[in-house]
Amino acid sequence: MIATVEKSKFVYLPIAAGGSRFDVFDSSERPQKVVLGSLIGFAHSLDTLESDQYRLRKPVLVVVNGYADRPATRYDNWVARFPEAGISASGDSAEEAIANLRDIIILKFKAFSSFPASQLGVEPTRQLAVLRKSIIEQ
Amino acid sequence: MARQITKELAKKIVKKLKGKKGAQTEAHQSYDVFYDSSRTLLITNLTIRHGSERDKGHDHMEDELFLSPHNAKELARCNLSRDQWIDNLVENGHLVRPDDPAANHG
Repeated sequence: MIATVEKSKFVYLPIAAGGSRFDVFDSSERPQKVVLGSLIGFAHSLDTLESDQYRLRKPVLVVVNGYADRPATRYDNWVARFPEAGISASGDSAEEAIANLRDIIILKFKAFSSFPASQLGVEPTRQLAVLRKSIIEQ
Repeated sequence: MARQITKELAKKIVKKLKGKKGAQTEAHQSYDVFYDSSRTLLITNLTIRHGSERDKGHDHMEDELFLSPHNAKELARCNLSRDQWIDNLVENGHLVRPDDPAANHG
């Protein structure tokens, strides 16, 4: 998400703990006055799927973003992304989004594996290839 | 920057795209979205979080739809049709139509 935001609408605010925070303005109005919200982001190394049946061949990089209505409010809308596979998950906290991402990675792997290759479209084919490269079924 | 796609909108999107119930886990139910009713080509797989809250965040769905947050919301609000969504996927290389010679890539 951070890579795709329109930079002119965001004010970059470096924060501690290795993340980045952006306050979001409506630049078509009065940027200094109208704050629409805030987003925060950090990279996370996913080491395990916490599953007896599936495990990761190696840690994968995930990006976690939290959103808030105003800079001062609690970040209660989180999305964790596994960009290489184009897979993401939502949560009410960063931890929940990451846990949900683990769940969805396994779910998509099962779902796409259940179809013959000829029935998979461009994206599911690509996603399954990344998942097969990343996951071992035990 | 409140959540763009709530659970309520996510369910509308699944219905509009004619998603078919697919794999599920304790936390998520997935829906397979096919190109047509004969289910010859899987376009994507959408996931909905279990739980009863209608406003539960589903912003991850924009990635599953290959859309911007704005257009994902437009899809739920009927300003973007299923056919327009498919046209958009083809234009952006996320989908090759089954009747396109390029689909026979082996």
